[in-house]
Amino acid sequence: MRGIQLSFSNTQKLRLEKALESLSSKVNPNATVIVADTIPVDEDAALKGHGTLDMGKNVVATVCGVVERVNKLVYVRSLRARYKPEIGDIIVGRVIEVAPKRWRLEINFSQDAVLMLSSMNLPDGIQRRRTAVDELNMRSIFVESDVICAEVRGFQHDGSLHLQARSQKYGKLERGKLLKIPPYLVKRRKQHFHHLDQYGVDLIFGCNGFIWVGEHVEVKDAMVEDQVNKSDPQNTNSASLLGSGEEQTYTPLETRQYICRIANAITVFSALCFMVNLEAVMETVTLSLSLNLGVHEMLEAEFHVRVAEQEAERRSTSTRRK
Amino acid sequence: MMVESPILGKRKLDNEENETTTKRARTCVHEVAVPSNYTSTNNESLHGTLSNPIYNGQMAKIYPFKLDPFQEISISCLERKESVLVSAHTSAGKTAVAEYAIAMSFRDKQRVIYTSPLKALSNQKYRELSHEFNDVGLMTGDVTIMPNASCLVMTTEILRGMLYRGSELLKEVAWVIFDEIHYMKDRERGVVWEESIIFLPPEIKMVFLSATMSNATEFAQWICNIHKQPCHVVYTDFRPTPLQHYVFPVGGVGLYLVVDDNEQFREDNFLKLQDTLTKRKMGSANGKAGGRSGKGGSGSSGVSDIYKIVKMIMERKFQPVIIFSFSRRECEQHAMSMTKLDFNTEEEKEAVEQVFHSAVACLTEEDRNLPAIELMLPLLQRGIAVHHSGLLPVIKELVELLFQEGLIKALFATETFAMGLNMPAKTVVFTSVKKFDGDSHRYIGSGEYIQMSGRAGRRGKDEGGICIIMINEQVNVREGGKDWGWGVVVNVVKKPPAALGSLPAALSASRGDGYIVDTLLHCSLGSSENGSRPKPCPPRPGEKGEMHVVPVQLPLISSLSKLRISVPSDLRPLEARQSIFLAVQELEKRFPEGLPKLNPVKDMGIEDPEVVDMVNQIEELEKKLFSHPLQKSQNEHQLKCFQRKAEVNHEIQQLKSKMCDSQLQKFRDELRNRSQVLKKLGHIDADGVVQLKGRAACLIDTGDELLVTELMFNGTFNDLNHHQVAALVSCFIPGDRSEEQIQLRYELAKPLQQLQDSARRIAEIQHECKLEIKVDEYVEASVRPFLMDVIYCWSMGASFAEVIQMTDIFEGSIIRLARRLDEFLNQLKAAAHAVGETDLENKFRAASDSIRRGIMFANSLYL
Repeated sequence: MRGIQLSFSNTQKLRLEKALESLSSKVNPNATVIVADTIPVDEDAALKGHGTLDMGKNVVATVCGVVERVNKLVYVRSLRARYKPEIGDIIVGRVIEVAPKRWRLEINFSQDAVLMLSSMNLPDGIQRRRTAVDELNMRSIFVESDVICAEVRGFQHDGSLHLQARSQKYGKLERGKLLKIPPYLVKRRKQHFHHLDQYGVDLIFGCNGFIWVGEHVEVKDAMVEDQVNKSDPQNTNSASLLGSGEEQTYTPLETRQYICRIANAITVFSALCFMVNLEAVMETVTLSLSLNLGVHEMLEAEFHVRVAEQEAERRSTSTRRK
Repeated sequence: MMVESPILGKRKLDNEENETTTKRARTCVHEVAVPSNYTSTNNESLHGTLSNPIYNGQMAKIYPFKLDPFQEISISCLERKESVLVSAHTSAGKTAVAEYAIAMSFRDKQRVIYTSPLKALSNQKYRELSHEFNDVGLMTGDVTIMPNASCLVMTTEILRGMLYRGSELLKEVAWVIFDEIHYMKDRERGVVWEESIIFLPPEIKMVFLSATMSNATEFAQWICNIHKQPCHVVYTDFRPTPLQHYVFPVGGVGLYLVVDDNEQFREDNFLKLQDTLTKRKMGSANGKAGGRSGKGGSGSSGVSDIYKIVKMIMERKFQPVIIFSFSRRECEQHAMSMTKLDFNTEEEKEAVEQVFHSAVACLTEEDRNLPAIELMLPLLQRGIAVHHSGLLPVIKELVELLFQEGLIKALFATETFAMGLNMPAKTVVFTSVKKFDGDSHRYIGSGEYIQMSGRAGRRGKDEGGICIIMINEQVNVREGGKDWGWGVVVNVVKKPPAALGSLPAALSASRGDGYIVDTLLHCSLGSSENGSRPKPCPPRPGEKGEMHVVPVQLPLISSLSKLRISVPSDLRPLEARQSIFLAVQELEKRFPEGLPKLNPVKDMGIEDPEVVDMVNQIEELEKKLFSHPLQKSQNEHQLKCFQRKAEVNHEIQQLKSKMCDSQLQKFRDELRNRSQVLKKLGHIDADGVVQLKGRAACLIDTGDELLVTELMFNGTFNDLNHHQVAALVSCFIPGDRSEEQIQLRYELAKPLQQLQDSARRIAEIQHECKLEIKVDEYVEASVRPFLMDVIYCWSMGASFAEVIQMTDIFEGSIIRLARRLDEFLNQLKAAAHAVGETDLENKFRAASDSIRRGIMFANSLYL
């Protein structure tokens, strides 16, 4: 309930508390540490990983979080921290500066990320050295405040973070909505691009907590096509149908409403501090539709409670099944 | 699922060139594999068609000489922006094609990558290309020069690393040139090529340069399948300098020319050669010491043979000569046996000494006095040198340079010298035709022979190359053929009415395995009269036939009779042949049961237990066959049904095995098993998302990443100092084996034990996950403690001279291992950084620093 700024009625408050109560984790509380807590280590041979400090006799935590152990490695996985990039992460970011040969992006990391002109696919898609002309034309590709989807390429020697957009599925995102949620609510998964066929909407979960909900665009990239097929087999037929239609210059109202509905579903989820993933979002959207709620009504207290209750029920059934 | 099979266009180009100077046509074959439904966007008037590429536009590079047809076609393919595989002999001029691709990229402001299989080759290629072009860079594990150049020379491993890490450079690369692509069949490293080719983005086109290979078409189809783009094959066996192949029988007196410079096989000489060999065989049969003493024998008598050959070559001015042997020790022995010879003039000697001193100047005072270096100079001065992978890199490169300058007249080399850079000699000598390939002694393949013999004949300098093969006895026994001298009566059952024909079969053992037997057959009369080439066919019953000599392939003969008929010496007159027919008819009357068959045991006195066994088996089976009730029943219908059943059964079997073998299925299973292993070890979680441990493992690719991350996460490295770390980690690097008993000091034995335990555990987990693996073999193969002690001492500061005393492994191998070890330590450092363990990171850095010194990391002379 930490971040929720809503006026609940008394009954709603009770229901919500009950639901959250049932959700609260029963995991070993010893695993959570705060700064300067001593982490119990059995042997000397242990490896001290991120978030730990060797203080001679004992190992102490330098961040608040959960102690994780892999073989003899001990490290602390921090909670509620800024985004910490890892190579290969898919992220959504916003251009804040067009610099020589590079764009700077805000990605919710402790520093701005860099997307080099040379790690971009040029619109014509050919392989050649970037010239001064290309550099002058950089603004025709991205300008400030554009929203971009890219992949983390790695850290340079100077510590700056480099991105890349090495296939057609990356690039500028248009006609949609950018949501910012705490990055720890997005779990790294195999698939971060989702095409919700029934709504004609694309959904991209950036690992940095930036989530893109936008109108579906056809991608001309064999690799992406494959992945879409895998994640949702019935997509393929209608995807091609959509593409064959005439060029649309505006987003239909219906699609816009869906975009907002999905975006609101995610907002509710993050407000309740639930992990955001495709299944949960879809369920919430279905719930809102079945309740016949308007898009704006989703952000009201009642829906929050309903979502929490639904989630509690879902988890209890899944644990029972186990 | 198989992708639609590509359509193949095939044609042959003949271009008779300058008939006066050379009779041989410069032929070249062009093929193209095209994905179905592919339409080319190229302008036909400028680029020709897919199956007939021509280029009429402006050339990106002008050559001072007229291009060969194969070069022209390759260049047209390049201009069409399509991948091409060029397969030609070493000296044919493949480099011209590569240079054109580079020039083209420069013209179009694109980047181009040139990959070669070995670091040394990359260095040489870099030197060569930077003479030709000005914007050339080099990237190997050791050095990086101008990484932003338009043309980058690198090893294939580096390219693979770039592909995995998604280097931005690849966005600007238009062409990748794979040199020596036939390396792909290498058992250990072949996968590097495979991965690089698969992961290259489809926009990047490829040029493959290869020595002649047999499955070029298949290769092109594979490229076509995975990249969905046409791939051309340009193949030529044209050789600019013709070769003469001689054979020297070991212990013999002279050379026998077996293939002359028109590529004609000289049978007469070959027969003569066989003659001497048989004679020698007779001689040696008397004093049969130890049947398989071929190797030992060549050690004593072979050396003097080599001495003889080399001397003769020098006398006839056939130098420079490369003498290939297949073992490094043999190489050195041969070179040492030449002590009495001196091929260089005084001036040349001085030049050698000068080059030598400037080359070793990059070493420290102490290293210059190493025996391996000091002993080399007197040898080099006399124009004799050794070249193999076990030498110090400095010496190796020095020898290469001197050889190119013509200051070395006789070079004793192993196979490695035959790869890559253009270093031809006038003459090539093979000391043996067998080599040890890790598993067994085998005959060298035709591809290997072609590659090595291709070193003979310098383009532009020599009119022809000379290739001498020393054959020892065993080969001859096999090749010389069995004693087929007995008379055989050939009973050709396939043509039942004319069961006959007899002739002491003159077996001409052609170069392949197919024997051709000349038989006398009773043929239909008419057949021989219509047309120039009669097709022999048996006369119909009652028709009159004529006897003809017909060559027949051996497998077509169904059985041999033990009867022999004396055959007139001259078979040309019809009567003579007809008389044999009568004789056979007479025989048939005498043996109404059918002609008695030749029994290998009784009639020929063969005592080989295998043959006897076989014959007994055949007899038994025949008995069974005749006693079977169906043998007597003549019901055709029934038989047909049975046959049908057998066929169907067979088909079922085949389909089943196809299903199991289906590569994809196999791969899928293996993938599942492998990811299970990764899950068990904690590299990935249940959803297949890479975890911290996996991320650490990703950073390592020089050694066994599973094993080393396991060691790291179990804290094995924590208790060790950085010298021990370097020594322990050296076990991961593949290298030469040593036969010596390894006795390790205590501070190394314990970590080694831990390493072996971990290896065993990992092997067991893999075994549990149904991967085909033998636990002990895995442990044996992944832990190689042969140089642990050496590295330990080196890391502690011992000098190189001290270190090489500790093992019997070649210096070159030690240095190679140390360099890879350094690479590996750097990767471990990165992995430790990813985990967040600073102590360990510092330890790996210290270990790396402690081995990076002196002669082990001396710079290449090519740079």
